[in-house]
Amino acid sequence: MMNAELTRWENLDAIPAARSNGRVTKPQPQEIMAIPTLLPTNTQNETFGGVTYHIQGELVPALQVELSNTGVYFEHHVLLWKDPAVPVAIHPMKGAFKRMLAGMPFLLTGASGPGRIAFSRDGAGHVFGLHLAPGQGVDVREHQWLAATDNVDYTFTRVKGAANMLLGGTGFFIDNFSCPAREGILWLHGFGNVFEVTLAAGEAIDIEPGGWIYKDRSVQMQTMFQKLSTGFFASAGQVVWNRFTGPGKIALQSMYYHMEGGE
Amino acid sequence: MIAGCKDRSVQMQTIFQKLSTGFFASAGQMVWNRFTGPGKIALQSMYYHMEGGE
Repeated sequence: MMNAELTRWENLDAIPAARSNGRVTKPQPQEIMAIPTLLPTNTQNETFGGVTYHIQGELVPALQVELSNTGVYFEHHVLLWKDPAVPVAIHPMKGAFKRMLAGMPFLLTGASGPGRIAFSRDGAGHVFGLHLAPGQGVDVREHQWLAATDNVDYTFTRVKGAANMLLGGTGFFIDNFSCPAREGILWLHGFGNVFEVTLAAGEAIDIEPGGWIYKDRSVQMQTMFQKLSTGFFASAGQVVWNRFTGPGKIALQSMYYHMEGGE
Repeated sequence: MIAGCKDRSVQMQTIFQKLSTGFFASAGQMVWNRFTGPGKIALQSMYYHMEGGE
């Protein structure tokens, strides 16, 4: 919240004061939208939720996790390396066979300690950890999560309707992560760089539909359509974006990557 | 193939592990390479499949 407030005031100072009848008026702070700020790209020796982790790499960063009593789960194709002593097995998940990934059933795998394991996604981007407190939950756009600790619950929802119009797809999945009892960590991947913003209650931001990564559950999402007109033709197409309304956090990525088999 | 290069002293084995869900006999398998020292090995964090390659 501190960063968001600071960004609001910095932004306010940058806006020229409007002059009317000799009187100077400046926008009030609540009229200025918070600006997304870049998240750190590297993490060393961060301990939370029962594991210690490191994030390294400038182009395609890798997450390394030191496992002891708490395990992690992930999609099997993001595994980069592991100690030979670290076992990998199917991680049980309700409804897994209702969801397909590139034509194959969507299966989660889990690993347990002691030992070390590392993950990466096949895309230039940015990896970051979300520390979830007990009772906290987030909604994550599909293909963005990398791994999570065992104490994080996972399910997913299918979004249909307006989203069908995007890229000729048939909708997309939103991954839902929550920590019902104990704290846990969720690691996400964004293509390009990742920026985060904290929205106040009622405050909104418009993001290109391929741009958002995760949002707090308290943040509401709407799909907005705006027709474009040249004046010469009845219509010159339309632009589509998602409007997110606070309170809560939302993260976005600076590069959009369309994955086959996804939305 | 994630591994980029290795010293000749490093031994490489391909490991197959069957995955089972409990509901089906098999849910596919995972494959990786196990490298055993002594020696250095380099790896890359992104997999790129080249047409006409492996």
